[in-house]
Amino acid sequence: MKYIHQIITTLNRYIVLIETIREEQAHRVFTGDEFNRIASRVLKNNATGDIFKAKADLLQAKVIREAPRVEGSFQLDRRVSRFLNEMAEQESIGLSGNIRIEVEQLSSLIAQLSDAIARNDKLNSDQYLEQMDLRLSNLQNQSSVNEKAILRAVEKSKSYPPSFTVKQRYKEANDLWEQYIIPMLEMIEPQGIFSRTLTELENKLRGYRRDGQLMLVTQRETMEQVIFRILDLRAEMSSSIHRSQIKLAPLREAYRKATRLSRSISDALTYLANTRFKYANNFPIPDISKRYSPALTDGDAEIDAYIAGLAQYKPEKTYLPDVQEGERGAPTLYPDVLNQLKESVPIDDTFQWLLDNYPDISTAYMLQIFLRLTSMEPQLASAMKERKRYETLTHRIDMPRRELSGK
Amino acid sequence: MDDNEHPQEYDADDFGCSIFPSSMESMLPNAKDIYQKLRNGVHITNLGEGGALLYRELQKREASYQQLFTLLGYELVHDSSGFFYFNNTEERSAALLSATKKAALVIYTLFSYLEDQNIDPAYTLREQPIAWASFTSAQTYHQDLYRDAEIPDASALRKSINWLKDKGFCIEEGDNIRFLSPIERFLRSVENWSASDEQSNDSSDTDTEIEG
Repeated sequence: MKYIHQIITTLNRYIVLIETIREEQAHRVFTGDEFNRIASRVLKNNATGDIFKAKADLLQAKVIREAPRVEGSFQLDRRVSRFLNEMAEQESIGLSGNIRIEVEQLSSLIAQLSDAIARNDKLNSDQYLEQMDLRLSNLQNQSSVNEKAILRAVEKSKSYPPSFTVKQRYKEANDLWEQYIIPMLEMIEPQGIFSRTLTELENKLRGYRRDGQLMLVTQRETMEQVIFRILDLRAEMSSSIHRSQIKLAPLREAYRKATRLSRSISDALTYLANTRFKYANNFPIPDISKRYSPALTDGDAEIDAYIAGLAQYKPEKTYLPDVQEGERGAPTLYPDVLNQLKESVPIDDTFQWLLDNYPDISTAYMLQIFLRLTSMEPQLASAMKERKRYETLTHRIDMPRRELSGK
Repeated sequence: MDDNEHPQEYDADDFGCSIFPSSMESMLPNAKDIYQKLRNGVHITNLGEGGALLYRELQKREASYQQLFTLLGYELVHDSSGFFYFNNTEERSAALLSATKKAALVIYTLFSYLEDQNIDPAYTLREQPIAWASFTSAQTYHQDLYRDAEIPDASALRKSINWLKDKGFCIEEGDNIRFLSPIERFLRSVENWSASDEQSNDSSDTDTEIEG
């Protein structure tokens, strides 16, 4: 335990330094000079003593080791570098290729499993089932890690100061889209390898369960677990991809737009350089209006005259029929209709009643009254009957007959 | 609901007071100013010298002005980015063409210069005041193009900027130039240009007779 303690403390103290070494000198032997250079850059107060101490500490904790055969050269301890690689993977997005490989291995496991079951090989079939379970849970893991990585990338893109160009800010989002979202969408569509493999696996397992070919209790349990994992994974994977898609889409769109604009502008400038300014008739410019020939209304006085003329403009008289006083001058008001209607409830056909009593009001207004009477009036109860056709002044309406009765 | 009680009467009212009332002058007090500006190819925005007043009036009485200018044979365009201009339907004169080309050259080279300086060009053109020094740097950067376009020195460049200013594309704030929303017209035209260019290339591949 003492060694573990020592190595973790050292890692903790020099993590920035170790990380830089890992990034720049991974799997490589580096000389003492190279180490000094990196250390003096990374360590804040670069006194020679500090660098020396760092080297001694790292050597003592066996984070770096002396390289074999080359005097004064070092390399990162293999276990440490593997550990760092694995941890770093948690932060970065797994490529869609990794997921494809998992899925392909899963499909070869299906073949091996059916082989083992056909040979009645309990031990191997047990093993294959467990491996399937492991691969499925790996996939689940990767999908959630990738989604988080995408969210982080999106947030990072948005948090750049505006002095960065759109292209710089959203490049990562665009790359993620092209390298992850698009291949993943292909894989999870019904004919894609992901969906096909999962469906095949599920069908096989359900078949074995039905036929009772996996007799051991533990096998049955593992199988159930695998089936549930398949169901979970299928739902999770596609919704995770779609969530990421939604997050990335606007950034990608902005990226594409910026790229398009700057490409067009550089194309236009190239065109101009190639054709000479004088002859570049195709150079993209907007149409701008200019007074270049005398128009009818030219001069300062004409527009005044024109507007003055317009001031005397009168619209054509529209014909509105004269209405005799008292004849039907007053508009039909809803309360009047309601009062009249209350006297004659129950009514077995409300709309027909309106047509009979108020033949002159417009269809739209009549429908409004009708609606208010049948569905918004607390004192009246309405019931829907068979469909019927009504003819108003302007329209033909096909709708259910409504009965009205008082409450 | 009460509003709908006698729709016929409302229709009649609307018609009566719609486009041209008797008190035309009080309704469109700046008509003359607006007309002259638009006809000279000025883009009327919310910003700019005296623009706010005219813009507000155009916005408020947009229907009336649309009708008025259509009668006069012009097409008033209200761009969604927030400016008004006359769409030119007639043939352009050589002088105007050249001035517009020069202005376009200034804008596009500035864009490409800013991009090379790692400054977000679209954002800067649309939103930020740009130092005069950037314009002259862009000129030096694209020296050949400027010389070919007969903008060899700072004073000729100044002329182009003044032209842009006159047409309502930019305003001056001390030593800085700030582009206004009508700059979108230049950006859009260059964006669409490359698209149509590709299309014509495509069609020439498939059907050469049209080209001939």
